[in-house]
Amino acid sequence: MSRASVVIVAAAVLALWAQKPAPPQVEEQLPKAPPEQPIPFDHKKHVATGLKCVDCHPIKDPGFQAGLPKESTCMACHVAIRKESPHIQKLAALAKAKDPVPWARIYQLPDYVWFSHASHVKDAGFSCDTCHGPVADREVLFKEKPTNMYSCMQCHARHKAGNGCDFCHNSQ
Amino acid sequence: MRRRLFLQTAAAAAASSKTPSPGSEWRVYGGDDGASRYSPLKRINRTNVSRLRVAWVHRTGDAMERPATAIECTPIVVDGVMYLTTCQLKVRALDPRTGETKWTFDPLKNSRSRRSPGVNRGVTFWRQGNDKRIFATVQDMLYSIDAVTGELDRKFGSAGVVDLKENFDHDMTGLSFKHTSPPVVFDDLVITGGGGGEGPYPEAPGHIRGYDARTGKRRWIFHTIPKPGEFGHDTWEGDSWKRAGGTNCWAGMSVDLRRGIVFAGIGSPSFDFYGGDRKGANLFGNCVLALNARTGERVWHFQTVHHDTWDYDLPAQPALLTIRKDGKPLDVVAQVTKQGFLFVFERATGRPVFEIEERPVPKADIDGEELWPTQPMPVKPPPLSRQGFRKEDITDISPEAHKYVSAIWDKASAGALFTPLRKSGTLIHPGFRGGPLWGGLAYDPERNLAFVGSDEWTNRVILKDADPNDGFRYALVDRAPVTDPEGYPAIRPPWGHMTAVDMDKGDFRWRVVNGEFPELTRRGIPKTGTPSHGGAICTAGGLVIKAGTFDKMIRAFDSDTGAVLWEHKLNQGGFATPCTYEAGGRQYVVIAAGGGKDGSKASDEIVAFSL
Repeated sequence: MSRASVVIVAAAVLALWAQKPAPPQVEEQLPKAPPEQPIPFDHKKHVATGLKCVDCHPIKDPGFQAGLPKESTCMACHVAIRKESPHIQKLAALAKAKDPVPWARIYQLPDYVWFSHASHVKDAGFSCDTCHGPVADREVLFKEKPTNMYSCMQCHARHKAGNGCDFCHNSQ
Repeated sequence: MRRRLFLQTAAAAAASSKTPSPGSEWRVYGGDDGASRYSPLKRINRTNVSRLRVAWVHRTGDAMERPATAIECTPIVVDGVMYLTTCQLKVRALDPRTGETKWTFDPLKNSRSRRSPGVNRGVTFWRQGNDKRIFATVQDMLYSIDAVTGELDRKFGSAGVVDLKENFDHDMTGLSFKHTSPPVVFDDLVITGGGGGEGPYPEAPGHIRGYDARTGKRRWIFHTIPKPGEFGHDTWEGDSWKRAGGTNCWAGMSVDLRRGIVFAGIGSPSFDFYGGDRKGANLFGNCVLALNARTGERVWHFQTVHHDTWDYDLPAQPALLTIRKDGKPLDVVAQVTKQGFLFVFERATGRPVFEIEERPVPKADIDGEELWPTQPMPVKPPPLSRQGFRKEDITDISPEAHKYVSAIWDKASAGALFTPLRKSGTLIHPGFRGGPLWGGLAYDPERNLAFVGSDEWTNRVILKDADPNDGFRYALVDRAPVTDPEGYPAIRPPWGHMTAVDMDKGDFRWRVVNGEFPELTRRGIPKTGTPSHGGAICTAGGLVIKAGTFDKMIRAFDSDTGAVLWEHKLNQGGFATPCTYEAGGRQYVVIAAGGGKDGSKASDEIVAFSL
């Protein structure tokens, strides 16, 4: 099978998967090990340089998502810093090709959850580590805080935010 | 010659200026005030439906991919104008011949929050003299909009808006309210349902209210959780009536204009998976409710689930039909339920048309719960979905799927309908989206057939002891659909049906598998059908038209046989109920194809078909 065929088949499988409901959820079991990333990224080291979370994860309107940095953003520094590293060379190649780094997502909510980073961070003033843990202290990032419905609802109850279904879902 | 030309021209002019007849338009969300979803139009019919083509596509322009928006709206068409709601709940008027926008009213302009906008299934038209209004319930507000200009009617409520959280006879502090279906109108009243959710935390109840259509002033309220001294109050033990919520009519109502009765199907009380803190039958949860439309007084009720702990809301408008029974016309109310029943009652009295038995069901299997010992089950028609989930029901589409689901089944409590919930996990089938859901049914009076779409989804509920500070006993850990590792339903196929019910005999006239996962067909698995969203409509042209399946198709079925006579693949799922109408001498079928459900891509298309 040619490479193009493999890509087409893989895309078709992904497309079909996207049409189907998500596999069943059970009480969230946090992973015991961090996922393998295409390029190692040390949050602790980057935060130590003075970077803020939103520098790399901007919350743009309408504010539901916190973004990932463009590869060109990374290369603004890494054009000079550690440019000999094979990881940085891999990053540079992706940036040149304008291909995104295929990061393994640590936190991801289903698309039927209307979670707004803006309302939690900008409006309510929560810090990122409320939901993501002490990222600034982590050399390797892994999921250490649950983001299931119960954990969300408990937090909402503690802070007297709404807990009706329609608060976070397009419910009936 | 000149005289003939003059007469032809005059006739054409007269025809074009003539007010469309009610039957030629789709003037109410449910097709008519009784939600029969029937059109007497037959330009599009069995002989020519294969030539149906896209006539126009309107892009609402406000779809959002992640989180995903969806459109559940059925457009209405009145006096040559189409009215609908968009992905982000804007109210819009279109030319029904072209899809061109006439006006847009954005109820959430300047107040669009970062919360879910919710969904909306459409709007309601009302006229008095030359005044034409569109009533829209968006989130927790009722809007009165000038149907000609799209401007708010400032004389209604507070500058055109009534806050549905107010005047509710309930302390709404910290509680949310929503209504996703259009209100109904009767004389000079606009009548709304809606309410809170059904979670374990405090929720709003679902009291029904009638408002003056001109002023927005509340004329009456019916407490769906009765207050002290009211009928049904004693079905709530102790003070449970104070805290419980839910019990709301979210799927919309129907109106018998002649009798002056409004009908509502009521949802479950909250918390919908544990009722140990609301012991009793819990009226008017899960009831078909007939109210005096002028006063809000109860005429009759029938509770379809006593003390619900399975989230078996009444999920659709009660359909007001005049069926032929034993050779005579009979006015009835037909109510589909999530658990797959079709209850049929005489409209004026609530007396069952087909016998309903109170059958014993198992006792509770969780500390603190006290289930009702029996549940009502109609002897006819047969259930529209399988009921319960037995070992032999486990999917067989592959050995891997069977093994995976078997492991889930072995760990869970599973069995017949109304299997009691257990903390460690209970399989509920049909699940929370039915069976049938908000698409309800469509009824063809010529054939005396009711057409119902139904699904085969299973949900699993897992509970755990709540945190002592939570204020309730059990917390919800899981309520998700149960699937195999590939994401297909956990139960053996088929997973979706269209069924024609003979309303005289109470039997199935025909039943066909609806929808397809083509990749499974290619693997040699017989057509499985797919779950679907939205309902069917039927026409005098001998057609049943329905979209909503996961294969993104809209289909026309032969009303007499269920054979698929036409199908068209939409760009995204048509997760709504279609409508049909005539405009400019052509008949159209319109479907909102907004995708955005079950992991599918969101879209913003309103698609019109014509010959």
